[in-house]
Amino acid sequence: MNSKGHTLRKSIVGKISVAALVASGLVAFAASPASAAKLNDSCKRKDLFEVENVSGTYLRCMVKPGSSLHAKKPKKAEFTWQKINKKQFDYGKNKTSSAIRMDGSSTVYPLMAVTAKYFDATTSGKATVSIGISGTGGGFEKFCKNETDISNASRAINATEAANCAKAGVTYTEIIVANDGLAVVVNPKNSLTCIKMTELKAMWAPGTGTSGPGKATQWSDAIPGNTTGALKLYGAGSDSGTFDSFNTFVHGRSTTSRTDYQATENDNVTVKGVAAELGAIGYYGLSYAEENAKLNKALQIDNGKGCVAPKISTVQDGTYAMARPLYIYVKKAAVAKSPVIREFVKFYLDNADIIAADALFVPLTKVQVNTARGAVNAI
Amino acid sequence: MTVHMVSDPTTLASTVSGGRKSRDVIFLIGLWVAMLLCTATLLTLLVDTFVTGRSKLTWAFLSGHPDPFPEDAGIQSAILGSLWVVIPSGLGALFVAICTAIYLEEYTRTDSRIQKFINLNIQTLAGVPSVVFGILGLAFVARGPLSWGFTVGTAAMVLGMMILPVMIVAAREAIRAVPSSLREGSMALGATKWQTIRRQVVPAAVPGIATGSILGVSRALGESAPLIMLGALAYVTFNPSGFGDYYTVIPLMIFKYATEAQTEFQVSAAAAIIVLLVMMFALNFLAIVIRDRSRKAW
Repeated sequence: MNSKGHTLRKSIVGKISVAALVASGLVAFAASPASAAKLNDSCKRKDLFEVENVSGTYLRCMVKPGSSLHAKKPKKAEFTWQKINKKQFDYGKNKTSSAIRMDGSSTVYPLMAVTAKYFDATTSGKATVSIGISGTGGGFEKFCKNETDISNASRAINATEAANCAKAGVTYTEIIVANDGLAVVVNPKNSLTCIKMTELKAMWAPGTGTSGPGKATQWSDAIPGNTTGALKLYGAGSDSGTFDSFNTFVHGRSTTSRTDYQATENDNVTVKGVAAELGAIGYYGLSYAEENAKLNKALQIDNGKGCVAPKISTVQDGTYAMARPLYIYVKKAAVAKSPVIREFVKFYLDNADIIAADALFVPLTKVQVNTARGAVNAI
Repeated sequence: MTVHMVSDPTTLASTVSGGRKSRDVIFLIGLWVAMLLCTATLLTLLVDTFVTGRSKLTWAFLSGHPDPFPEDAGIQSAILGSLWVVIPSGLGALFVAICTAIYLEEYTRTDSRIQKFINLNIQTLAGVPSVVFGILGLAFVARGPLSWGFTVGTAAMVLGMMILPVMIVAAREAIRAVPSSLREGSMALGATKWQTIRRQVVPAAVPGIATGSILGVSRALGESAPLIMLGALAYVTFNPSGFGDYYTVIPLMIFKYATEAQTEFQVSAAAAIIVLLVMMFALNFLAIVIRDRSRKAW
């Protein structure tokens, strides 16, 4: 396949039929970076997980040992060419690539999209991964109709969905792929350090029904006796998975939220707003909170069992209230038919730390990874 | 009275009723404001899109694939996906539309029951929202009797059905506009009905048919609602190579990029809009060229 020592980068030319070429005219491609990788030499961020065959030795661009892609200093990560066994990337026996069809939660989407990108780089296109965003419920509907191989879910499968799958004879394995954690942040000068879930609910609840303007305008409206003054709310826009997650944690329903707050898809707006105003409160992904610890103060959350600080460890062990596991459901029959699906999931678990950091999720614990590995191998 | 008004409107307006002329001017101003409002809105949107998306409009973007990171995001698979879906649906619908129009205009009488029945159906279908076609396609083409799955073939089929009514109407109008003297002349020279249709009526109707059907294809190109039902995907890093393949289309990528949490993706969305606009403009230009080249004076 690569006797000439060319890059293993997926050639995108092969897949275009003549008809499409004639029809498009404007799109033609060449993807062949002329580079000679050397062991331990630095490589570029965009080449992460690319594999090159340098006179019989396989080198893969990886995060340099000792540096990290993790949240605190993501830009400090260094990348180097590292030696790997051929077996580590040579998935699949034949040249035709297998399809991996995924659909489901848009919260899990970034994680699987990053995995697909890196898997593609490492296997030079052994699998054509396609990912839809029909939502957790929509994903399960297709999954149980045998229309997808893997279903992405931000919650566990429910009884109705499981019954549908059983009726259609679809058997599957549930795998936890990452932890989703949110941090509630306030201005560093705010004296508050811990907030009760019920207080958050009072702050963010719509006045009536499931949406619309809220009632609380002062901090004291939500927290009796609080003297911070006027309440200024920063939150995620309704398109984002963060919005859904936050509402699920606080109100129990992904769409319930007051509408009169500063909505943004850009977490930076929240960071700046909260840093500038004493009365501001906002929320975003936990990994982002660690990056901006100096500008925003992350509150501890009390969900009836005392105050718990938002940390990777408390998210991973489940004691922090604003955390939940994210799942994928792998169809057993699909794995039997095309083993590359198992390899895809294994690839994710082998590199879960890097991928979770890239997609801004809290990574799995060692125990979680081992449990997941066991589940994958048992399929 | 009417003649008077035309010959001397000013004096009449001022003498008969003082408000008439000013009302006339007000109405004219109203029309101008309406027109300027439309144009200004359109221009604002276009300029804003262009300014936002311009920086991203590079070869890397056109040849790249959907990507979780904004800097690597591209729309190659979406461009080819759109072409794969729209070209077969346009050609298929065009063929059926011309046949239907010929049958209705040349072989049935205007007051016949079959024509009334088909007319009613076409008019109703032309007004059906596109998402309904998506649900129909989901139930009968993607699943159900045909079970083609969420593939290019399904999307092409459903979009074809969606634009068919518009194309039939356009083709009928075009055929009806061919002067009957042309048919009579052809018949008088001994041509059969089929020869007349094939050699006189259809060629004469080409400009009208082309214009109408290219407008239909443009609509299919910009459509996203039915395709969301039909499984156009968010992450597809390969180009379709057949009707059985998975796909994504430009409108869906615009939706995906525009709703992405990272603001850098907004630029990608704007760039994708520009690409879509250029494709639509090219189609409309083609319609004009075909119309002008095959126009005949009778």
